[in-house]
Amino acid sequence: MNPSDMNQEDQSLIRQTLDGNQSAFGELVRKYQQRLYRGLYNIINHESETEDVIQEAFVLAYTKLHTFRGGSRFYTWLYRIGYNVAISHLRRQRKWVSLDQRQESNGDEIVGEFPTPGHRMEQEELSIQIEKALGQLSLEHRSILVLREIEELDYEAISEILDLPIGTVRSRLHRAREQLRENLQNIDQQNKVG
Amino acid sequence: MSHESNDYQLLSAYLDDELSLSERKVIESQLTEGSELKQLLEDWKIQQIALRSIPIKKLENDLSETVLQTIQRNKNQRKTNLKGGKRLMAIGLVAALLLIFTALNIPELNQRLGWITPANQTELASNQISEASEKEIQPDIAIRDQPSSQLAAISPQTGQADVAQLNKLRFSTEKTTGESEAMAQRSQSASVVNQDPRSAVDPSNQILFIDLSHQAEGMKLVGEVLKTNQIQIVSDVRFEPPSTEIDSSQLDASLQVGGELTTQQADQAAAEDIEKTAIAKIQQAFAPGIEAILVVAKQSQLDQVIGQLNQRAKIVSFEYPDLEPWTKLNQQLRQTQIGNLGGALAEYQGRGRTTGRAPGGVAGDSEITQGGIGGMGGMGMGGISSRGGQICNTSADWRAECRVGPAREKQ
Repeated sequence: MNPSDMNQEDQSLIRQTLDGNQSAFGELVRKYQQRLYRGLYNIINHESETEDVIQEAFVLAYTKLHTFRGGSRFYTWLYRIGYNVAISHLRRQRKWVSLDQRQESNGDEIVGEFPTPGHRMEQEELSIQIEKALGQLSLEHRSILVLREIEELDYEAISEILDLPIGTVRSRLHRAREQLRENLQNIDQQNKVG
Repeated sequence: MSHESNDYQLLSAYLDDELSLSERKVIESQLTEGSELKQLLEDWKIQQIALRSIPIKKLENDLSETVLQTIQRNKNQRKTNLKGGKRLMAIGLVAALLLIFTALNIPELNQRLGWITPANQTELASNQISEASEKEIQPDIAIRDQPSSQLAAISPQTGQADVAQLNKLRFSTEKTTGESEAMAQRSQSASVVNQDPRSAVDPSNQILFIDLSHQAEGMKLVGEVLKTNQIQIVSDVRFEPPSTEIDSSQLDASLQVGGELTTQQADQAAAEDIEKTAIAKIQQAFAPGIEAILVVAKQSQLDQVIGQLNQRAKIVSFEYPDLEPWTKLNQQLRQTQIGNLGGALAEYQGRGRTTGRAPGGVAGDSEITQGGIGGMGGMGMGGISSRGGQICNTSADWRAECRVGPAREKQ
């Protein structure tokens, strides 16, 4: 399925929903829930809270669906809603669980992509460190890195979601990368000392 | 070789393939073997690979059903609210018409419409008082949100009143002046239901007390008011353990739903769970014979609670805004709770009472004095009643907007 087909499918489901067919919206939920969950989980770091946030995001998206003009991809529009709900949620909670905690609580297995055992070990170690370093970033830096590197969205989509000019997206991404690199170096230093 | 800050931004965008052709050429010309930019690019590439290899978290449940159910529930709720709004508009229209008729004060028209005359006014009023005291007070939520303009059923010139209209106005509410629809809805939820001022409530009346305030400090103040007003609580639902201030020995049932939530312990998620439990407990606590509910809750909670219970009893509500900082809320409760809640209760009891001063010498924002509907623009209730029962409400900004007029004692 190419992107334009997907877009047409989304448009059709949106039209049906606006015509009163709720099950069409159910289709949209099923289609995007995994992706939205994955993206927001990396910002919220809590399974059930992420679930609550995306539920709220979908309900909000339903009520605002008539305002979706199709100028952007549906997912970008949806993600923006989800992102805003997540940020409000985090600010309300006043908590920012570090990725260390997430890893401890979930016992997530780090799956490497490198083919050889040596590379896999290296990659596993790096993944652990990168999660830790990511967790130490500010909300702004972390969010933009998640959108770019994990969601793999282009600058235009990031700009829409975060409501920032493209130039700011570019400069913020650069600063986020630099901060992440610095965090990684610090973690590496600590590991050597420890 | 040092580089301009812009070079690093360009490099970052180069990694993301977000450069124009000319920008790309500029950067590529600097990416020579062993250069600082080249090394940085390699580092960022490794970071990128690592970030993309973070384990993918999978959603285990299909949320579509839950989402659709929530949407449906919200729709139903909105329909109910709309019905309420239409009802309010209709009542407002009737009130406006009444105002016009009354202002005209055409005796012939009054007679034709069956309005009472000075001659039979006292007799009718007296009958009305005995009827009211004999029969059990029934919930009258259908008209509890009438605007104050309905007081126009009382003629400003003669004090004549349509007893039938007054009867309907027994539980009328003056709302916070909400300009917007949202404000109006909120005020509607926060309305104080007034009992007929002519029949003071027997202290043995059964009241269910619901406190969702989470505030131990605030609860002490509420307890003071309850004691001062000799309110008997048959059962309560609240977060704190029963305290001496509320005289829990008199409670038939205390449905404590959670431990005390202090500032340090207050965790939003936990609080929300407890609130859900509280709603269930409220249903359990609702014994037959309870004729009123005193609710201390946040705006959002109040809507929920009233939604659950407004078919079953009159509600005397005390609403406070959804303020986040718990300590700030405590402070505000101290300053205003006595005044506002005291006003609501005094009003409910139909006997004005001055309760505008909190313990410790902190003055409340409101002062409830003996007064009555007579305070409204000089309109009086004639010989029917003038004691207490002034209409006031707890507004969203914590100010008890009681339109208190001078005390009127003539009977």
